[in-house]
Amino acid sequence: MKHSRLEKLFIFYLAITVSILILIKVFIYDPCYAFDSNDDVNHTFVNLKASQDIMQHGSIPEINLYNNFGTPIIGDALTFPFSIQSITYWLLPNYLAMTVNRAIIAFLTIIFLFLFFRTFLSPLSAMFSSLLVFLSPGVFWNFAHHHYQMALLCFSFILFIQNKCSCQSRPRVIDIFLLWIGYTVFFLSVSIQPVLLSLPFLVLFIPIKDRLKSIRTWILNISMLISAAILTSPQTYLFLKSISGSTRAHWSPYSGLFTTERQQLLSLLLPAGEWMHIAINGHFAIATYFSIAFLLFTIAGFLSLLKEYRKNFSVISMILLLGVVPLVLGFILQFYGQSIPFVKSMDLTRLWWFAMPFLAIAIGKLIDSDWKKDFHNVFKILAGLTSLALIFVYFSIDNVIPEFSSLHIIHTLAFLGTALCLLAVFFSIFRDKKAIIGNWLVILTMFLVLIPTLVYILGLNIKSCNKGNHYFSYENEATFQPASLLSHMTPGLRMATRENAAVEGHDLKAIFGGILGSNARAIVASEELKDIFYKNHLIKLDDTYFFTQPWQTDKLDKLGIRYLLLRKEDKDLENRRWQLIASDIYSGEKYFLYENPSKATPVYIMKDGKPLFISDFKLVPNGIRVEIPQITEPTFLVATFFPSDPWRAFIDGRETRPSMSELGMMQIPINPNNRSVLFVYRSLKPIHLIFAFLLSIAILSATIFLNLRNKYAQK
Amino acid sequence: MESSNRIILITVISWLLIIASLFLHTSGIIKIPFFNLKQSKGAIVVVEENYKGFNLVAIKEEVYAIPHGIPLSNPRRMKRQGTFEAHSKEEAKRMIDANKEDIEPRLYLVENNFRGFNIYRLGNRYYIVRAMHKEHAVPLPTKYPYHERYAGSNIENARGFVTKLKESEF
Repeated sequence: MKHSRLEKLFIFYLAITVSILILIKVFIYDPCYAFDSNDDVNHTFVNLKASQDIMQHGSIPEINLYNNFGTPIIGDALTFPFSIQSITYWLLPNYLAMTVNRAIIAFLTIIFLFLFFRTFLSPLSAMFSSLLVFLSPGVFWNFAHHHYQMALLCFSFILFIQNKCSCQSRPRVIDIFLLWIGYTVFFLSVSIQPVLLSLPFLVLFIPIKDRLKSIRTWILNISMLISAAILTSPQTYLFLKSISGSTRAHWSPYSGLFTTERQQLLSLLLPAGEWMHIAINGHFAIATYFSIAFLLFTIAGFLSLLKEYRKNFSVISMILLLGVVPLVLGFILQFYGQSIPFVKSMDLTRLWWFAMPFLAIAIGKLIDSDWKKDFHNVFKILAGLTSLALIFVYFSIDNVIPEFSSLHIIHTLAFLGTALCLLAVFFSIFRDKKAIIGNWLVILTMFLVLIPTLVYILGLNIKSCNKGNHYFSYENEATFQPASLLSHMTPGLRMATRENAAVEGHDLKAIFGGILGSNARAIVASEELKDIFYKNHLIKLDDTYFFTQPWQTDKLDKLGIRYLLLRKEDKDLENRRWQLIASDIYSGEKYFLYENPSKATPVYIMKDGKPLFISDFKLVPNGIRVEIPQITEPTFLVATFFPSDPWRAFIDGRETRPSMSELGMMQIPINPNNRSVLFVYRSLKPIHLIFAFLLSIAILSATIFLNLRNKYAQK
Repeated sequence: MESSNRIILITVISWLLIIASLFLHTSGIIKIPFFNLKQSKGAIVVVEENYKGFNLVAIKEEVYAIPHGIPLSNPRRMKRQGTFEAHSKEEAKRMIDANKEDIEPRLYLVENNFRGFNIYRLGNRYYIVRAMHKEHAVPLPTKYPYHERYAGSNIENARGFVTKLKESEF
């Protein structure tokens, strides 16, 4: 499709303005950057640093030794070291890399959404629909995060290329290759959950759009999907393996927020964070917000296509099967799927991210349609009645929906705007001309609907860059604070903090000083290790867990914990000879750093039932090398990492399988003549990587070859 | 310019105006009430279970006496289902005893959050109840949240009582 120069200029302008808008506080506050001090810093930044450190030594990053006694990197749902957006982290500081990534990805997402929509809609509707989809609450909230921010860009890119291929009699080689690239980047850059949820859309789009006529394009699409899935299968396999034994497999932060059907339904109409009687945590304060305008305009747009349903059959099918069905399915599974394994651990509203483009087509069609001609009179009357019903509800809202009484002016205007639009549809019975005023009402009403999303998600009512909103943070939040405390700890030793690691993250951010942390934060944190710690009264459970009193020095020794970071002085610890080695204040909070009197290190041998700590060890890529001190009798050497399956030990080059100590740590038997041990974490076998690569390339080559052969055979 | 392009141009300009006003609002240059959206706060606090067939549950600064069998939902909706809304646990119990919300006398808010306490008038007497955390909308730390305490026979006495109480805490 050819695009006019003005059209290109408009969409370029729109994409730029969206990029600027999502960085709004970066321009206002100094030194403010676009990153989340929770998920981004405590998880993504630290794991990407661990990955880069390993990759700089020429190895594949498989484990972050610095987090929670070793957590997997490949297969971790928040890291994605081979993602396209992780490239900027090699070039820029973390906080700046995330800021730049958000701007670039937002820009490209708007462009590719537009290119996709342009096949079905006018330039105006395509631009407007791109904006609606990108700023839909679920997409926009999660866009902040490394592991989700590429989701809509990859999705719209793949749909665009699929569509392009289906319009050609023989798809061009470059398009086939781009499709393969699109899927591969998607698998490598986006959390596996949304990727899996998007697959039905990506598989069904072509057959639905082309009414099963483009079988060749469909097969080509499936081939590229399979090829990319095979290429990235080691990562997917490791994710499934890690998650099945993780703390997260049996628990979800996503269910039980709305306890009644009424609350669930009302949350679709107005942001729950505005009308609920209690605070709603995180993205569910807004993620389910569609608005009455969006829902009714989608229905109206859909109905406008029915008069000429034969001509519009493809679009009708797309809206229905790829828009409405997933919308309803997402609602049902999210609120009633708690008994279904895996579904209970997932946020199924993510289905809506991928249904939104198809629902937005309906709204675009409403703007493009000629209301006089395109609506059946029955639907016009129905629109009129709905409009009256809305006006009735508005004037009796205190009785009908008391939760919504004292509506904010934006919602009042959007509510009345919706009623007026529907009234305009009704009055098109009497008008000959195209309802331009009605179109304008649709656009203005939808702009009003977008404002709460923007204000809430970007935290525009928080007049600072402080956390409290996950889109922005001050630069110093990107690392361990108070930073002075890092200089009091020796790199390579381990600390534990009594705090919610998911939010505060000192145990994670300690990696920036080369210090090992103890608390769990990763989604793939081991359930088995958690149970061991819990039975030993070492931890307190929260989203995951953190170490807490009573401080049992003998057990902390056996976990190699050298330092404790606390928020208040602990006389009991001091009485037990723990030394307060430093304290500092950050952001009004006091921090006290204690050192273990036994001078624990992460590696030790057992002597007379007590640990004899070893200082001669070195952390190497995906492992640890230990020089064994002189011993007189056989004993056990303990390396304080959780001995999951991939760990291997090499005693003087001879392979041994590590076993587990009573506190869940990795141990091996050693003899007096042993000199050194190398522990290595090997989750990937080179043969699997080579096989996956070759098979993927073979499928890609075969597809291109068959496509070319058919092309020349036809000539 | 074609009419379709003109429409796009006007849409883009409208979008630009929205962005510009959001910039002005966020930077604090101009306070635009239009963008001041509400945000839910608070948590559900169980104050007392099973008092004469009622559960006493608090949300923000109010105590709700909820008859057994009524599901906990939005307070505005619960009011229609026979719940009573009170300013303290004791007042909620007085309502249950009288089997109506409209009792006399009722706690009347005189001063909100005076050094961490709300001061209420009940007839000619003044009572204090621990106020809530401004940001989180849950009661400030106290042994007996939502408990009313006699503080004097006039507002000055009540303020003095709170001041002494705060000093004794240190």
